[in-house]
Amino acid sequence: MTERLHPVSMMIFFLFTIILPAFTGNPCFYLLSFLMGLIMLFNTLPSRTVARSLTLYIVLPVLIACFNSLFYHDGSTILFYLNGMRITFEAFAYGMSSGLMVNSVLIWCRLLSHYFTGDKIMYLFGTFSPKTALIISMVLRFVPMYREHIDAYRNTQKLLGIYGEGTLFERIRGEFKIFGGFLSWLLEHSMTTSDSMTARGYGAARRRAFKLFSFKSFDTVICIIVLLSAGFNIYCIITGVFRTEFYPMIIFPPLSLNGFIAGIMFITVSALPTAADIIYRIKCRKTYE
Amino acid sequence: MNNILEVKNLSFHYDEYDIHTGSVTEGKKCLNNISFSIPAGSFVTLCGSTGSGKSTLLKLLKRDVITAGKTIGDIYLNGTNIKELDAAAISSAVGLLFQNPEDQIVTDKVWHEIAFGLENLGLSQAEMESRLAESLAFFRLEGISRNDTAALSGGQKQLVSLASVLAMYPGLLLLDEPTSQLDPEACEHYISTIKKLQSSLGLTVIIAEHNLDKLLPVSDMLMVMENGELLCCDTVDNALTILSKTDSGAKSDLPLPTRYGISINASSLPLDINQGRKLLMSNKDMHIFGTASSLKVAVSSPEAASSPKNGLSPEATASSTATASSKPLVKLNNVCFKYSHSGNDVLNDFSASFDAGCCYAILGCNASGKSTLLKLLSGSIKPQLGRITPKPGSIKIAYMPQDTDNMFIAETIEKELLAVGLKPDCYPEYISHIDRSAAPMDLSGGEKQLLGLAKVSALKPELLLLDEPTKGTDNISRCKMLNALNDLKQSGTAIIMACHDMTFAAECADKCAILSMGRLTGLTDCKTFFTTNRLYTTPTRTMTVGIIDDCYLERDILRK
Repeated sequence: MTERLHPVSMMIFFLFTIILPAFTGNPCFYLLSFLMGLIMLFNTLPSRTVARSLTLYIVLPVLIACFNSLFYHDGSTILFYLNGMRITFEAFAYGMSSGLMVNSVLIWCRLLSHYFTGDKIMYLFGTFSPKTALIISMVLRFVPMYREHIDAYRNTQKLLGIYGEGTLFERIRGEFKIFGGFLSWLLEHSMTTSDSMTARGYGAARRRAFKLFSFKSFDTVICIIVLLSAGFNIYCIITGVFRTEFYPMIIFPPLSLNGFIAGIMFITVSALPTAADIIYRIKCRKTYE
Repeated sequence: MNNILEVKNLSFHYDEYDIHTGSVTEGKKCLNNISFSIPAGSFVTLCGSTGSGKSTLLKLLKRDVITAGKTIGDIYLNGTNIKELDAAAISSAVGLLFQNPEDQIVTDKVWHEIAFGLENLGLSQAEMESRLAESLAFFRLEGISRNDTAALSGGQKQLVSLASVLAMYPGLLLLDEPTSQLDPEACEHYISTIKKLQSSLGLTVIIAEHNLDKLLPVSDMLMVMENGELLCCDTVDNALTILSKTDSGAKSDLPLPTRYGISINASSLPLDINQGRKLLMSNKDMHIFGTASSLKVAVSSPEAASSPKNGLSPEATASSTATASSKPLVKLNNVCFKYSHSGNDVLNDFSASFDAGCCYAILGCNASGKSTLLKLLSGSIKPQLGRITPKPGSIKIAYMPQDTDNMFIAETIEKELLAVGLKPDCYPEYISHIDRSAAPMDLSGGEKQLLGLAKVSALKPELLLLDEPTKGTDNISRCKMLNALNDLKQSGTAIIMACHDMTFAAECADKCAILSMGRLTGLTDCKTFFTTNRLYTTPTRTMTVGIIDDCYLERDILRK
């Protein structure tokens, strides 16, 4: 179901899951966000692929923690001395916490790049500026084609034995020649492309982008829940519900009802697409049986 | 009958831009005082030799496409002068499609390409959706609607372009050599789709094309252009009568049965093979040439028809004796090749040997592995199993790709040929008519092929590989190419060409074979190949089978 989300609601969802946890400043929230992301990732990609990348998610916080404790020496709990430098528990814990935050951002960004495909990007652009959307689409069409063509060019010239062999200097000269030839080909052929665009009325009227996606009730649900939850979480961040102190010693915020509700809300939002996916899959299975 | 299109005294000059002075002058007259009218719902074929002004005329009818030039005269679309129409109205009322499928596709997805014109018109989302759905359904593109345009075949690309134009609901469709880059199969499908548009939707179609074999039988009208002038614009029969009395270059593009009819001064000209056969049947007495040719008119008695053939033609015998004496130039032994691990074998246990001084035509349908075979021989890809002897590096090989554009990298033809060591005073005869200061990219399809041929033959290869040398060419260029290849053969070059054009293969090759199921089936001399085949042979053979024995070349039935 996640891939069926409308680009707008998908963008809102991912903005929420990527940005919000980073602003709480609370390691528990980071961990929660990371775990929710991990669940969604397992639901999205084959488990083997995810398992292979787990190492990164474990090593990264430890590395950051080590670096932080090497360069930052505040904190009241001294673990040991290294070359006369204090290595403190607080600095290590702060590093771990930052590492978790980076993890959480990374994992949600990975999900974003998986779900936010080219056509969705184009849709978003299409609503602001149909011309930009067209340019993106043309880039996606022409850049691979040109690359292919320049390879064909090089291959043909090589087979003719004129360019592409010999000393380094000769080869570089050959490459320039080939590129020059490619450019003249490009100019010649883009004339037809532009004729074809004119012939189909490009620039004749105000352009409007074709919209491939429709806004469904599921999108409305996602948007409302995300916005509500974001509002409440931002309120919590401002009122300092999540505030955690690391220096000189670690002080967690007192357990509060607001913090608890905010956490539940985050879990609900981030689990929503996964839940929808699972329900959808069960329904599909029933159809196939 | 009401005319959808009326053209009155239309003349056109392109602007000529002088690079040195920067001044714009009036160039050569491209169209000269053209007047015609087209009734709504007609299927019009526009023919004429290269450079006769076909493309210019079509572009002018569309307006807005040609910007640099001077137009005199008026064009009326449904009674309104097109100068008075606004840009959006003309872009939807008249559809224009071009030759190269690759160039006219603008976006990356099929659905987006079809929606492109609708987006330009600024239609509402609901209307765009319904028109997109309509077009996908009509052209049966539903299955590929979400595909990348880059992954489509040439035929599919042309259909997508057509669908994109049709989604804008044009009343007049202008097509500029739309099938010249397609293989025969895709070409036939494309023409039948166009015909369906005309006959079931009442669309008016004007189609400019060189190869008229499939077009003429479905056309209502024929327009012939010659040097910027309109020779005739009339019903097919009347236009052919006019055309047959002139010596226009367009005559050579007519289908074989029609040319046959003209050559014997038939009263009504046949348009397809079947009509041609009937005409040939009633005139078969004219074809007993006796000693001049080995041809004999078939006698209807069964034992005579099955009697041994009159022996091989002199050329074929000569080449077969040559093969017996000399060692083959290239030999392939059980070669296997596939493009991906899970894919099918493109070549499967392929064995063949090719001799010097001999021309081979490899026929076969699309994706049968013809291009792959040439690439293997050229050494650009290596066989995964089997052996090619000698190794591609040890003999001089030249390869001419399907897309000859890839061969040209210089600004002028002179520099292009100088790169292969060919000085202006020793240019081969077949490119002497081309202006040598022109840019290679500006040439017509046929001229590009000839220039490419000049370039590869200047390298004096022992083995020349040609991939579809006749693609997008007109008959005049084909004739020139034929002579050039014969000269090369005389000098001892082995030529292997992948080809769809049977007529050309029959004229040019010594030996022919079909590449099928990854193997070369029945490599034999041309005469045996084309006279024994019934389904896959030259139009001449299909027209004469059972009427004249052993006849497969056009010159055997056409009189000069």
